[in-house]
Amino acid sequence: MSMEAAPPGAVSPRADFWSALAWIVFGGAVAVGSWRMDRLANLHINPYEVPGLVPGLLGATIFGLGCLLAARALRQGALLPAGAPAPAEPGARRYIALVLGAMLFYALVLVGRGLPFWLATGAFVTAFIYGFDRPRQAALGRSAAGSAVLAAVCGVTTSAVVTLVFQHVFYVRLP
Amino acid sequence: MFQGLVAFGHSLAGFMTPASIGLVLAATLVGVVIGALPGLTATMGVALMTTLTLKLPSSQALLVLICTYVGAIYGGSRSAILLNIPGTPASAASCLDGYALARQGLAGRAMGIATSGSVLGTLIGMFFLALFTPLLGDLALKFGAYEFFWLAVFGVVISATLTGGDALKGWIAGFAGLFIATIGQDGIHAYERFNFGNRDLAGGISLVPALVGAFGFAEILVAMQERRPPVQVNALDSVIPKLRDVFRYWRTIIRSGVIGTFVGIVPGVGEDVAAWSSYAAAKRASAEKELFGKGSVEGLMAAETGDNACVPGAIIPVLTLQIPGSAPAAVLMAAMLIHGVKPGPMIMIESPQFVYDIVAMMMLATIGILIYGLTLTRFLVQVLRVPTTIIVPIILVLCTVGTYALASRLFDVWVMVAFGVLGFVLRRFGYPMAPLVLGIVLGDLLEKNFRRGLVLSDGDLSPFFTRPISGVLCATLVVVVLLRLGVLRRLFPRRPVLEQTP
Repeated sequence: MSMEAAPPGAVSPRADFWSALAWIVFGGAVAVGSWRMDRLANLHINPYEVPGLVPGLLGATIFGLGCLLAARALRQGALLPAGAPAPAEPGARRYIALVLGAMLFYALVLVGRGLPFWLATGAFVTAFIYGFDRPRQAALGRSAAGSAVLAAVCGVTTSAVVTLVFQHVFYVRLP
Repeated sequence: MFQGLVAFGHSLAGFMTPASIGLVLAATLVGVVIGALPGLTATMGVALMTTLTLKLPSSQALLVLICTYVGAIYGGSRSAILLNIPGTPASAASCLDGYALARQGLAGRAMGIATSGSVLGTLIGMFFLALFTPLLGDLALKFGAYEFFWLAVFGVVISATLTGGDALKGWIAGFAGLFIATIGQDGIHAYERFNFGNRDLAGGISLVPALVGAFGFAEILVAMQERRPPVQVNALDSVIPKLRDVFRYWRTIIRSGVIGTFVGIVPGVGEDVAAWSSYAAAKRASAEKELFGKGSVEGLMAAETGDNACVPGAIIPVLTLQIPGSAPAAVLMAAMLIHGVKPGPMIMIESPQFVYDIVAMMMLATIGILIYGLTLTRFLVQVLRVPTTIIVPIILVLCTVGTYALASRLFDVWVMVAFGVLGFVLRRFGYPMAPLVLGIVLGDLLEKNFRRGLVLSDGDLSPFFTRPISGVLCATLVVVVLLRLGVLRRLFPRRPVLEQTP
């Protein structure tokens, strides 16, 4: 199922502690950045209209909440051996890193860098489906060639439909 | 009342064109499919469709978005019943009894119950939408800068508190969202903040790319991570809803509809809370409590009525206060702004017909889910068999091209990707997305009204606490936070229950 967030208890106290530290640094940086922001004194503005007021207060709040979370994680034994996260399923991190890498490659590298959109999309969808759906296909007893044909059909169809619909129905200039 | 009915009739008649009916059928189908597919939520569906409907006239674009929203919340019940996997978080409560019924060979009957519950829930919510929007609109006219400031804080804090999970993390996510909204030029002096010299960032973070990232990009990553096993669906019995079920549980239906609508009105508290609250209330009042969780028709009816009634409920504060009642409603509000519709306290004065247009759109969406509820079962079973590994790249392409289509600039795609990665990481660390999104939506409202309030009172903070509506909002907020932190529970401990001797 898709989760709005990990269920309570699924995140270890140590992970909470590290994320709390990140928020403390982030909130502190925002608060300091806001404090040092130009107060537009040369424009003689109302002091309650200074641009850094609200971000500063929000940064301070995030800093405070981060401290609360860190304190709670420490109380739950974040630094004790029992507070460490459960070991990840073997290969799970590598798998999700590969998926993320493929998605980033498409959105940041393939699209909008000179390669025609239809080609980038067709190649990406084909490669993604072949790469990540192949184990399932193999388990069903399908050959590599069959999987490649299925992936190519999906890739070409997606590329053609998206390009035609966006360019000729919605009149959108594609990246 | 009669005027309202006439206005509703006008709105409905306005949508009786082949193009609008075609859009209703297509958008509801898209919504049902998105909702049925585990891993794809209603928020993602509405965000994605926002990018795809930019070129449509505003009334038709909003018609598409509302049909997608209603369809997705309904569609979630399909996979809940057939697979025991909620298609959207809103359908989690439906798993309990829906799947139990399916295991007893009554999957078709369960889907019929879900259809009747969803249709009736939407109709009840729609009734309250038409009834309460003018009333709340009148009340909203009394709101000033101080009240709107508190409403923004209230929305973020309540959303984090009531959506389940870790409230502290929800508050952090919510305040981070509020901060994100302040990036770029400030609304009064156009001073550039936190843009590090980047010209694109000076314009601020656009809402739709951020939402598509947080709910689209991040969700497909989560879906890939879960590696859902192949789907096996058993034979189905008849999916036609039984009137007997409706008449037998009419009290449950009305109660769940009312609960769902009111949960929807509370800022940021979405359909999942509505479904669970309705389910819990039905169980408490039921004469057949022992059946709950084992295939109770009443339990499934309550959950489905509650989550669908929440949809119109969540739109009520969007229209009257410009505060979304749920995450999909936040996207809907962003879409309204993109299309030049300005919801808020003045809506009943400036464009009262628009409220009835929304009610009419809801009615058409309800008809759409009824049609698909009766006809689409076998098709949806086939859709559920499509593996995630094939759906994910296609959704990513739509997220990318849809985001780019907003303003034809790659910067929006980068924002989408950044929020996608951020959303995925935050979910892994247990931070909810709804408060973050609500924070981004409400940040501008909060900042403008806080600064305006301070200027009006010349730096005096007391009006934030002493004006009646502000005082009530602030006091409620304090009580909610203290309750969640356990301070009040420690101060006023419950008396221990004495064991009863036989």
